Amino acid sequence: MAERVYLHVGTPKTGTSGFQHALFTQRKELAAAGVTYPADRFDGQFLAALDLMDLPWGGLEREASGAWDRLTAEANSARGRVIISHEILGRASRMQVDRALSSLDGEAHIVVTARDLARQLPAEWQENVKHRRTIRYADFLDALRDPGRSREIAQWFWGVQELPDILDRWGGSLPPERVHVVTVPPPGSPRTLLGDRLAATLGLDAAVLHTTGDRANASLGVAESALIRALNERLDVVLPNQHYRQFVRESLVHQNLGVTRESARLTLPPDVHAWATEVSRSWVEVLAGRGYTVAGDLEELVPAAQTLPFVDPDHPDPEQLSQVGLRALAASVLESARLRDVEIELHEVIDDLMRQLDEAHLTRLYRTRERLVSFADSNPVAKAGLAGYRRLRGRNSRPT
Amino acid sequence: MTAYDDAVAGWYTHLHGGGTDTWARWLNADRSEPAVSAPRTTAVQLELVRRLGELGELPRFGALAEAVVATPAFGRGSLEMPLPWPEAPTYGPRAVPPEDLPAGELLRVAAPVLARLVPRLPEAPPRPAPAGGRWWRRAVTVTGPPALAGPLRRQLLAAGLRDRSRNATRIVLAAPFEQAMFGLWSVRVAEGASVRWSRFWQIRSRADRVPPAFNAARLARLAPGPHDRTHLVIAADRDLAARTVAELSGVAVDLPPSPEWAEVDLRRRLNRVVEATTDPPRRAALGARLAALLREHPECSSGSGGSGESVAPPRAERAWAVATGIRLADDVASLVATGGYPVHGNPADLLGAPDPGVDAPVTTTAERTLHLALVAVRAAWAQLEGGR
Repeated sequence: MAERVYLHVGTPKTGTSGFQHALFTQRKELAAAGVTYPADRFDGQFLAALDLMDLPWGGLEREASGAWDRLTAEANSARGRVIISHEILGRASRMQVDRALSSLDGEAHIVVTARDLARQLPAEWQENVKHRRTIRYADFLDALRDPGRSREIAQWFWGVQELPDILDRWGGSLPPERVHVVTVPPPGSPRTLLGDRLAATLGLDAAVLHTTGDRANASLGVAESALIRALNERLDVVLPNQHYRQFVRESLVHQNLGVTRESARLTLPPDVHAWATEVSRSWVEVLAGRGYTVAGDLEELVPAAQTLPFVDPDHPDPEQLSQVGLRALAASVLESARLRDVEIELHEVIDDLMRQLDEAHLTRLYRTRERLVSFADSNPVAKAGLAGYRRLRGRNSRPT
Repeated sequence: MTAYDDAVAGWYTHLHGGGTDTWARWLNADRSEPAVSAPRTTAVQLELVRRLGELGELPRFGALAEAVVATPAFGRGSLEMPLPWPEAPTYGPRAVPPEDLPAGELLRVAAPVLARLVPRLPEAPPRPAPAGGRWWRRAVTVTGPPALAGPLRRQLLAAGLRDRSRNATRIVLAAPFEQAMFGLWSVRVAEGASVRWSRFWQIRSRADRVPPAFNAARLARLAPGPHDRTHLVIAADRDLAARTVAELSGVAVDLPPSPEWAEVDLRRRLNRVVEATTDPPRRAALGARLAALLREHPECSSGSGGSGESVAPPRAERAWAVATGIRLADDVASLVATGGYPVHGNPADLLGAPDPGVDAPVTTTAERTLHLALVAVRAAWAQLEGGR
């Protein structure tokens, strides 16, 4: 039985992809240190989270069926510490949290990595854009500020980002010392600081978490985000999801536009920044009174004064947009050429196979058998004989 | 337990016993009954129990209430709607009076409740398998929108007619475009699909893709043999179309009534809930059980005016729908003008008058589905518990 289970339940856009990549790729090293990260594929814990929360996710939910039970079976059979991590778990309802906690044998600890809202809001919009959404930045921010939270986009955002509520749902039944808040350091801090804090919380060797590899999410600038959003409008419905994932999200965003940000960083309009600061202060006040274990400083959750000017992605600079458009076009042409080369190679393989097949068909034995089969079509005796032969042989074709 | 938790437990106790007071009325009343143990539930589940109670008595209603409050809301939407309370926290979703909750939120719980009840209902009678064509019988081929051509073709085959022959009598059905789209949506949902009505339209309009079976003029032109053996039947009126096909084939056929929009929407939601764990044939079988339940219980009507309602496309797709409907009708008119094809019915009927149909605000359509879901849950529960 696991001695302790850390459930890292969010929040999105706090380096979770890199963290999960490090844990997944170094499962053996972790196991040697008495830590289990139960997953047989990179997105194994994501599927388990979908299953726990009964969430449809573009068809992936079919693969997710039963994944939570498989995950907990592995976790419960482990010794030492177990880490379960996925940022969408933050959205679980109390009923689902009860199911999750009661299905795990070890001492449960809740871990939340948290970042200030002034960085979370633009990052979440960009994440939405990378997932085919076409909502404009201003509309997105309006939806989030609507107190009624009537739009699905707001319901989702607050479900996975509203720290006091997430911690209420996940940590409400646990002693506060078993609820850990890890704050994301402010801009300009050493790159390894977040990893150090997480490692200290989970009792890991910090070196493990400094290997985030290429799973860290791409960072888009204003013009890049505007371009992808406009592209989504054009591609809506007509491009199937699997192609969108390959050509837009993976190739265009992750491998090209997101590698080097050439346009301004996306920030908040001044009035939204002030509102985000006010909301954050109220959260910090609530969290400070709860006695949770904090790695970092809750004050880091209050947005710093805005130093960068706000550049509106709904009205991007045409010159910048065209530059980004050219980069995207070049990347798409190169990708098309690469795929064309693959296609040519495959055609050569097919031609070679067809030639070998033709040669096989030219043998006397093959032609005799072909004539016999053809004869059996018109002759009942031959037909019965062939059927008997096939029954005796047990299959209707030889293995190749 | 906080005072809020106590109050929730008290209201749950009231609802569990079949009470129907709203949250506000219950809070204002003087209550003294001991609370039953309340699960960690939300305003949505509790309001659903209240509305089920409002529809009348049921055997073992408390057990139904327990099942409802233990059912998590399915899919995306509001998370844990709280009940209005004076000392509400400054964070979390804003509470609204439960009776004002959007129907869509209540359906996120009603559909999974139904998904648990329906598999326990008796299986729907199997659809009679086509007997297969007898070679000496005449051949009649029926093509057109699947919701019309499908049932007619099955009945003709069941009667022993063949559907393939060079000398077959060919019947091409033409229906108003919007009606054909609704029929196709209902067929897809009956087969296990969970696509929304709006999305169903959107996919086709953005790609300007008309299902080939809707293009009656093209189907008629593609039909082999002389023109006078290809009959064009204008199926704007289902009964008239069935009668015409019966006359042409010599077999008594009829078309089952078109389902209501709300029924298709409810089946779609049921499919969505079970999609992760069941394959399309099993979803279709579940949907058939639900449809059988709705047929057996006349109270299971969404109150939308019965079957055969006019179903309009979503507002965003209306321009495309109108243009496409006109184009298809024009093609039929051109075909008729060329002469030679026997025409049954008036081609002008393919251009029905625009009707707001279900293009009412989304909340209204969801309200109709919710009403149907509530009565279906009650009917399923009564059937299951009545047989105990």
